[in-house]
Amino acid sequence: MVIIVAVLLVRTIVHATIHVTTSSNVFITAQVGGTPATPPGGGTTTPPAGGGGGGGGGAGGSSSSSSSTTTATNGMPTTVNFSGMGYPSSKVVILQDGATVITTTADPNANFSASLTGLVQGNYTFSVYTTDQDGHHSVSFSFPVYVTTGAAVNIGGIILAPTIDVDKAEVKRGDNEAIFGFAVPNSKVNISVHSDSEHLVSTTAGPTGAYLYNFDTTPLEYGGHNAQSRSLMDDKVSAQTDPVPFVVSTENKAKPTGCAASVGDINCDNKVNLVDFSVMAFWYKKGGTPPANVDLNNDGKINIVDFSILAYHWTG
Amino acid sequence: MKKLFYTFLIIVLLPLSVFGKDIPHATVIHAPQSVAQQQQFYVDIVVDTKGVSINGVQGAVTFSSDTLSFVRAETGTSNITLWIDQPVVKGNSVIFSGIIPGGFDGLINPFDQSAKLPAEIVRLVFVGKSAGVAAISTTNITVTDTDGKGTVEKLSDTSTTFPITTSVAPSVYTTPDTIAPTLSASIVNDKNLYDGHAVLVFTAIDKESGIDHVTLQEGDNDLSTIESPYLLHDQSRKSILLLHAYDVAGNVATITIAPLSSQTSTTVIVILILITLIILYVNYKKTRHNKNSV
Repeated sequence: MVIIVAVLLVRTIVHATIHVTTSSNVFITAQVGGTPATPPGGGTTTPPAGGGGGGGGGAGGSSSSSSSTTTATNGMPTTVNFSGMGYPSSKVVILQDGATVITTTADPNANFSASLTGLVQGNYTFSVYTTDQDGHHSVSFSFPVYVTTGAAVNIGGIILAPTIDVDKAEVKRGDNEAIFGFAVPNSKVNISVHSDSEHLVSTTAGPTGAYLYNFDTTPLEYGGHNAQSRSLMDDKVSAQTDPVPFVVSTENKAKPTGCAASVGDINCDNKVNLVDFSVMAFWYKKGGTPPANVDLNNDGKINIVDFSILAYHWTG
Repeated sequence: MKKLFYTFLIIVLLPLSVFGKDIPHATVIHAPQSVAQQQQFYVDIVVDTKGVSINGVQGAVTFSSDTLSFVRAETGTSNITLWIDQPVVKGNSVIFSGIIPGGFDGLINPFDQSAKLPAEIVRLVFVGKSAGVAAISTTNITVTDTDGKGTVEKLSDTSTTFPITTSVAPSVYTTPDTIAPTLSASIVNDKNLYDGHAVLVFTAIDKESGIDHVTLQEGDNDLSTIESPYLLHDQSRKSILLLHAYDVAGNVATITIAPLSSQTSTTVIVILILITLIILYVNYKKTRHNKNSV
């Protein structure tokens, strides 16, 4: 249920308490050479009226006489530092507002770190994901951050989610469904198979990060099911993977391969990015019946739902 | 006057009664307390996600056209990453839609992490047209959850009013901005995009005043204001493409895309140089080997 608040001249807005939805281990710290600027969208101030050309700017909603930017002092560059764990020697991709800005490789212990410099002050959405040696992407770990000129923001403790796949699209009831992927090496991997009821099992990732669990489908009902996993290491917990669907039936069927299995990859280049967005935008404006691989929810039209699904699977 | 004041108070205080309830998402309008005729001002449209991640927004903002004139929309401070429909005025409404790859569950201010901040959707600049009561309201704003299914949530309409007083002196609102936008572009051929013809796709981002417009000069053709994706006139790709992105403050970023033939000939030249160098090296080794044998 959604309730709307109409606000006129009301400066108090109820904010949610800060929490990290994807992982409990991430920390964000910051140092600044000058005075931190106020982010826009905070909603705690009322915009100025007129002001002869003053006002707002990057600081949004500040009074017309206040500055909109903070000048860097002490020569500190505007930097965002990222660090965390992926899988051993896995490719780690960092996106800035949906565009790939850094591609790096985790070390043999799965640790990665990277830095972005020279950013202009403002709102950014950074996303981090990794790709395993089979080409599967982890879910993106995203954080919208306000970056102040001259500040160094450190985003650390990122534990990237495992990858996950199954070996059969349809599995004969009673046969095993192999559930596999990559995770932080030597971490415990909790696997959830759920439909009407949830079945929880666990395994351990090897030193390469690979994990495998042969799930006995005997207790599952006929029909569709989903498998998801997350990794646990000491007191650190990763985000959960996307659900991977499979069907319990009377026969075994292999999974489709290629880009047919990759949601949002409209042009089959193993990426979901601006090109796919452009194709979707073209059909959105053109109208009519879109191609099946563009109409992501198969409802015969392109609308905000399809764009949302595309944005969810975005790889940059 | 007293009656107007009490009406005003009711409008202000009534919405407070719904605070404190469990609100998954909420639209908020940040408007000034009062404005004079011929005075420019901005209104921020904000969505408070209450910690629930969203990755798409669409809707409209309507305004009282008898008391307000729309000046422009600014997107520099918006949390929307890619616009499906750039904010554009139609009659007395500004419509928009866009997505946030990765999702948005609240903006983190690294220097004050006590709370995440709401998403700024768009900043609308208006000017007071005539004395009276100005009204601004959101209409049919929907958000999509970051759940991989595109679950749509319709937000209730919200509105705000404020007085337009008689003019003291005209004023103009400008967002300080001295930094050029960032622009990236590529040319793609995809069977689902203009039947596989050469199409220019691009993104232009400006973190201060926001992108105003993007122009393309294709060879000797006239300059055109374009949107992405753009079907190129010259499908042979023999023309130089000059792409310019202007922000609201007038700063410009430019990308030049060389003709395909020029790119091809450059590649050929590089290959020829490499082959020549290899031949020279082999000859040099042979000559040296022969000298050593003698």
